[in-house]
Amino acid sequence: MMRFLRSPWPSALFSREWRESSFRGQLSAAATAGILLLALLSSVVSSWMASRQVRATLVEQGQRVAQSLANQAPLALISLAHENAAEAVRATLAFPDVIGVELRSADGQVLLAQGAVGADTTGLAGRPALGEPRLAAETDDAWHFVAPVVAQRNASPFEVIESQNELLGDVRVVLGKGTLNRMLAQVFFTSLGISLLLAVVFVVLLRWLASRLTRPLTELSGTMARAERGEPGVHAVLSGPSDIQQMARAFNRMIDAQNARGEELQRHRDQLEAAVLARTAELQVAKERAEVASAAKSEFLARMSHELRTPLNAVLGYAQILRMDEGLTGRQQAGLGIIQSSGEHLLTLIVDILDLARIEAGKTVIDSGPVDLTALVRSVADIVRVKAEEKGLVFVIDTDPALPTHVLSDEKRLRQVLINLLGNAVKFTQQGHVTLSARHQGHDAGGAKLRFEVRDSGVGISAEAAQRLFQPFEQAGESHQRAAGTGLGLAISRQLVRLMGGDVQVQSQLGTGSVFWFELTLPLAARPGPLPAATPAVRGYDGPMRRIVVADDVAANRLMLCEMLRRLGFDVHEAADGQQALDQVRLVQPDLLLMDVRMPVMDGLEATARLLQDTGTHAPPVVLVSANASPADRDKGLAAGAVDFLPKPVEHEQLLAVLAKQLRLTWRRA
Amino acid sequence: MGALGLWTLTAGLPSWAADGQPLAVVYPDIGEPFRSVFASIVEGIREQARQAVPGFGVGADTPIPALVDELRKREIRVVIALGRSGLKVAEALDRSVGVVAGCVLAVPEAQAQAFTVHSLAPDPALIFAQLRRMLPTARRVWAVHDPQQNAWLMRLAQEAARPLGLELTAQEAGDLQRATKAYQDIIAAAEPQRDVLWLPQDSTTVEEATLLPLVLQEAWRRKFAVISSNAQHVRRGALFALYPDNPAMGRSLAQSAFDTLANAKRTAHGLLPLRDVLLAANQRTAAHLGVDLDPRDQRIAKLYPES
Repeated sequence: MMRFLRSPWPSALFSREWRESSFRGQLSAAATAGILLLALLSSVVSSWMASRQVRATLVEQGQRVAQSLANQAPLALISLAHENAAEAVRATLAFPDVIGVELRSADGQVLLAQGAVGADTTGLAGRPALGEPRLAAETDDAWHFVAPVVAQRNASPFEVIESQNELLGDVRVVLGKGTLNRMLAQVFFTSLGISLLLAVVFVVLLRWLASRLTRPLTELSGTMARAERGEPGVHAVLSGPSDIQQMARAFNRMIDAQNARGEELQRHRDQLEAAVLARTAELQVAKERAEVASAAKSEFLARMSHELRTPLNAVLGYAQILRMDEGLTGRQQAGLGIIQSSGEHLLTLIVDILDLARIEAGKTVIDSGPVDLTALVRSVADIVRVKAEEKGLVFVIDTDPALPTHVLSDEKRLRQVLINLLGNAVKFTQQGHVTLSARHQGHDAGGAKLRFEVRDSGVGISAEAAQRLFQPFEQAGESHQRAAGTGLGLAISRQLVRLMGGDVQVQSQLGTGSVFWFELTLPLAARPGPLPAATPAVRGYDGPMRRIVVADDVAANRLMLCEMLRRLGFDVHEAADGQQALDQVRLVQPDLLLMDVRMPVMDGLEATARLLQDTGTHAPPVVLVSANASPADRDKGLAAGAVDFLPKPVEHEQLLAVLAKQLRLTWRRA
Repeated sequence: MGALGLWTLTAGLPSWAADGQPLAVVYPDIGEPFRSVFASIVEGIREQARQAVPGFGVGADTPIPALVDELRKREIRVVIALGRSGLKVAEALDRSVGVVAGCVLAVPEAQAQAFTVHSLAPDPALIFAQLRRMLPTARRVWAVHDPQQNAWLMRLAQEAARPLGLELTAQEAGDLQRATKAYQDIIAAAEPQRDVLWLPQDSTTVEEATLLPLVLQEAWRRKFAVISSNAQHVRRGALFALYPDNPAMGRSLAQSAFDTLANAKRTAHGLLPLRDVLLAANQRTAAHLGVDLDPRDQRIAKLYPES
C-alpha cells in the first residue's frame, strides 16, 4: 500500500513536467488547451442546435408523409384490399429515410406491413383514433408516425344529424434517423474541422507572440546557463521589458562579485599548491631515505642471520653428532644437552627476530591446513606442563567438549602463539596455577568461533604496562623482575593472531594475575589421514656404499655434515668451494653432491650450472644447502639445476628424507 | 334586432316592416355556396307571401333564446325554419307558433312528427318517372342507403316503383365498408339497359371522394345507368339527377306556411319529399348508354358536359 502510494501518479508526473517546462511552453500549453476545449465545445453546441432543427424538420416531414399516405389509403381500408394502396405505399417507401409502412384497419388489424415496421406495432402506435398525424413513438433508430385514415363527409347545413368523419383505420410510417445522424456527424465534423483549423492558426500566432515576448527572458536564461557552465566573462545584454532588464543588471552584479571572489580564491589556491609541492618534495626525500634505511635494515638482518646461523649450525651439528656417540659419560651428555639447548635458544632468538622482520615487512604467509584442535592443545600442554610442574604450579587444561575436532588453520603458527602465551604465564607466575582453555562459541558464515584463553595467578600487569606490552623488546614489570627472553614473543603472537583474523587481548591487575585471550573464526576441516608413527633412529642403509661430495667454504659446517654422513655409512669427500667441488666430481664420480650456495671462487649456483653443462645427463644430482632459505632462494637453486634444497642449520630428519629420495635408499633402523 | 345581433340578411332582400307580420323565416347564416341557396329560397317565399317576411339568420354564436324572444315579441305565428339551424330555433319555439321546416335531410322521426318538414330529397316517384321516360328498358333499380337517414324515402320509393313497372332493391348499410360491399355486389350483378343504380342523398353510403368515382367508373365500364339526387353527380358521369328548384321550393314553403296559418290544427305533420325539382342530365353518359337525349329538351335545366 505504501509503495503504491509512493509510486509516481500520472498527475504527479504531469505536475513535475509542468513545473519543469518553460514559460513559453506553459503559456502555449494553457492557450492550446483552452482553444481546443472551445473548439470542441462550439462543435458540440452547434451540432446539438443543428440536430434540433434537423429533427424538427424531419418530424414535420414525417407527419406530412404519413398524412399523404393516409389521404391515399381510404380505398384500401374501405375495401380491405391493400392492393388499392400499393402504389401509394411504393411511393411512400421511395421517400428518403422512409424505412417502413403499415396500414391498419379501424379495429387495429394490420392490412399491410412493408419494410422495418417492427414486430409490436400496436404497442408503439395504439389503436387507430381520429385526430391529426402525430409522432407516436421514437426509438434510437427511427420515428414512428401515425396518421388516421378517415372517410371525409362534407358538412352540410341541410343535414339535421351532423355527420361525423368515419375512421377507417390508420397508417404508420417509420422514418429512419439515418439522415439525422449523417447530418449530425457532418455538422459536428465540419464544425470541429473549422474550429481546429482556427485553433491551429491561433496557436501558431500565440507561439510567435509568446516567443517575441519571452525572447529577452530566454536570452537571460541562456546567459545564466553559460555562467553556470563556468564560461568566463559572461554578461547579460540589457534588453526587453524593464523588469527583465532589472534582472539582467542584478545578474551582472552577481557575476562581477563572483568573479572577484573567484580571483581571490585562485590566489589562495596557488599559494596552497606551492606549499603542498614543497612539502611533497620534502616528504619524497624523507620517504626515499626511509626506504633506503629499510632496505639496509633488511639486508643487515639477512646478513646477520646468515652470519649468526653459520657458527650456530656448526655448534648444533657437532652437539648432535657427539650425542650420537654411545661412549659418553652422563656428565658429557648433560654438557652436550646444555650446548644444544643454548644453541637452540639462540636459534630461536634469531628466528624470532627474522619472524618479526618478515611479519612487519608483510612477507609472512599463513599456511592453512587441517588442525586437530584437541591434539594441538594436548601437545602444547605437554611441552608447557613440564616447566610448570618444575615451578610447582598447577597446570589446568580446560577444553570444551563441543570443540570441533578439525579446523583449517596454520598449525605451526597457532602452536607458536599458544606456547608463547603459556610460556609467558609460567615464566611470570611464582605460585598458583596456569590454565589453558579452548572454547567453542558457536558458528558463523566463516566457520567455528573459537576462544583461546591463558589465565595465570602471576604478578599481573599494570594498565600502563599493558599498553606497551605488545611492543617489540618490551617486558612488563621492573627490570629486576624481568625474566629471560627476547621480549619479542607477544609482539610476534599478536601479529600472527592478527594475520589469522583475530587479536590478542589482555586483562590484568597487578598482583592478581593476568588473562590473555584471542578469538578466531576458523573453517571446519575434514579429518586427515592417520599420522605416521614415530620412527626409531637410523643406523645405516641397505645396499652398496654410496659416495657423496660435501662442498662448503666454512670448515666447521663442512666437517659437521661430513661426520653426520659418515656415521650413516657414506663414502664422503670434501670441497671448500665450487671449483673444488667440480674437481672432486670428476675425480671420485660421486652419487650425490651436497653444496653450499655461498662460497668463494665459485658459488654453488654457478658450480651446479657448470656441472650440468660439462657432464649433461651423467651429472650426479646436486642438493643445495643455504642459510638463506626463502622460497625465492630455493627457486633460484632449482632453476640452476639442483634437484633439492636444504636450509641451514641442516636438520637430521630432513637430510635423511632428501637422501632417501634422491639415492632411493632404505634406512636401516635400530 | 341589432341589439340581438340579428340582421336582415341577404343583400337581395329588402328591409321588411318590423311589425304586424305573422310569418318569419329563420335560416342558417353561413357562407357560400349555401348563402345563395338560402337567398333564392327566401326570395321564393317572399314572392309567394307577397308581403314582407322578416328573415333571421342564425350563426354559430347566435343566442337562440334571444331570437325566440324576438319572434315572440313580433308575434310571429308561423316560422319557416330552413336548414339545421332553422330547425334548432323551431324546436325552441312555443307550441303555439306554427313551424314549417324546409331545406333539410335525414330528419329524426321525433322532429318529423312535430312539424311539417319539406325534405330536400326529390320525390322517388318523380325520379322513377323521369327514368322511365329516359330509359324505358330499365326494370330494376338498386339503392344503397343508411336506414337512419333514408328509411322513409325507401318506403316512398317502393310505393312509387311498382306502378311504374320497376323493381327497387334497397340495401341497407350502416357504414362505408358495408356500403362498399353492397356496391361491389350490385356492380357485379348489374345488367346493362336493365339495371339502374340510384344514389339517394345519404352521407353514409355515398362517399364522394373515393367510392363515387369508382362506382361511376364501373358503371361506365359495365354500361349501366346511375341516377342521382345531386346535380354534381351528373357532371361527374351520372345519367341524370333531379335537384331542388330553390325559388319554387320557397314558394311551396310559403304556401305551406299560409296553410298552417289558416288551419294550424289540420295541417299534416311529417316528412314530405321534394317535388319542386329540376332536371340535370349528362348527354355523354346518355350517348354511352344509348339513351336518346335531346339537348333542346326544355325540361332539362342543366346539361352536361357544359359546352
